[in-house]
Amino acid sequence: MEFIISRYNPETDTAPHDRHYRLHQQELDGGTMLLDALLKLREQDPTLAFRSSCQEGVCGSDGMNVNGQNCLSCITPLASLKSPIVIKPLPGLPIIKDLIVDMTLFYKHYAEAQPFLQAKPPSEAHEHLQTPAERAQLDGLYECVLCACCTTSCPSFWWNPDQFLGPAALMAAQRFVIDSRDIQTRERLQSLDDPMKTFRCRHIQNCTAACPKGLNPSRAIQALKASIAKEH
Amino acid sequence: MQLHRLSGNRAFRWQRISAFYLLLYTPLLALWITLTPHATTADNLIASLTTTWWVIPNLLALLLVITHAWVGLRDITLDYTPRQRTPLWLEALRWLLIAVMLNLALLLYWILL
Repeated sequence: MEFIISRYNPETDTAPHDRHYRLHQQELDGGTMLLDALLKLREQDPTLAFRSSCQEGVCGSDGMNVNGQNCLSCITPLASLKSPIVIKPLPGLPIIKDLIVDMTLFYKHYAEAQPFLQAKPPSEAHEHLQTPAERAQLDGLYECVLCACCTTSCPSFWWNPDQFLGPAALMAAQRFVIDSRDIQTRERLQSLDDPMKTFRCRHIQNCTAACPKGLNPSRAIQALKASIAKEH
Repeated sequence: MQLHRLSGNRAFRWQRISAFYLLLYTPLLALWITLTPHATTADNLIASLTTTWWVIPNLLALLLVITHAWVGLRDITLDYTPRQRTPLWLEALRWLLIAVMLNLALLLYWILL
């Protein structure tokens, strides 16, 4: 099986370039994930750099662009990919080395969405309670693992990376806007009523197609926009 | 024009309102034209569409088409123009809108009177 991997070392290279690798079929079994293949390739070439941690789709650290589609390498079966497998770093973010990108901007936007509960002061008598229906509203929004596959597949983010918050941050914002325990809903919506932060989203839906957890950021942003429109 | 003064949700709402109206208006207009036997020439068509009960829906449609197009053009300007020149382009777009409205007003004056 052939792999074409984008390589870039800022100390020696002026621009990213492709390097070809091969793995014999005997080294791969039916259940091999892309990350397993990358680990084998790194045995061939120890200079190959990529992130990985939990290796089971929970930490979100091994996001990369594979055959034109963003994905997590640890939960992408090798059998589902056409050879040659073209692997590039996540698009739209600065490359640190090979497949490792600088996520600073992504985390900055995420922090700007204030992804934490701002509830009334806790009472000693009982916790902040929710009905099962109120809790169910959060399903499909809280499971994001911050892999950045959605945000870096979004053309609106490519055009305005410093101003548009991106699908991951906006989905997190929506998660707290609809949380029945949060008391800052109005302030959240007012801060998001901005043509650049939120309304750059054109619902291209690359984010939904790219999400390795099967979430739907585009729908969340649509609901967020509707909430902002209702608020005014 | 200052970028921080631009509204996100107001443009969003107008885009939705105009789209909804045009979604209802366009098929009705097509149906009307199809069912009007004498609308075979431009003069006849204009005459049939300036009857009392068509004037207001037509004018409204025209204004909402312009509104819809303005939101789209504003989005394109915000997305594609170089950042330093975006306020300039938005200002140019505003003057274009004013010119189109004036032109339209003159045209309507000419048609209706």
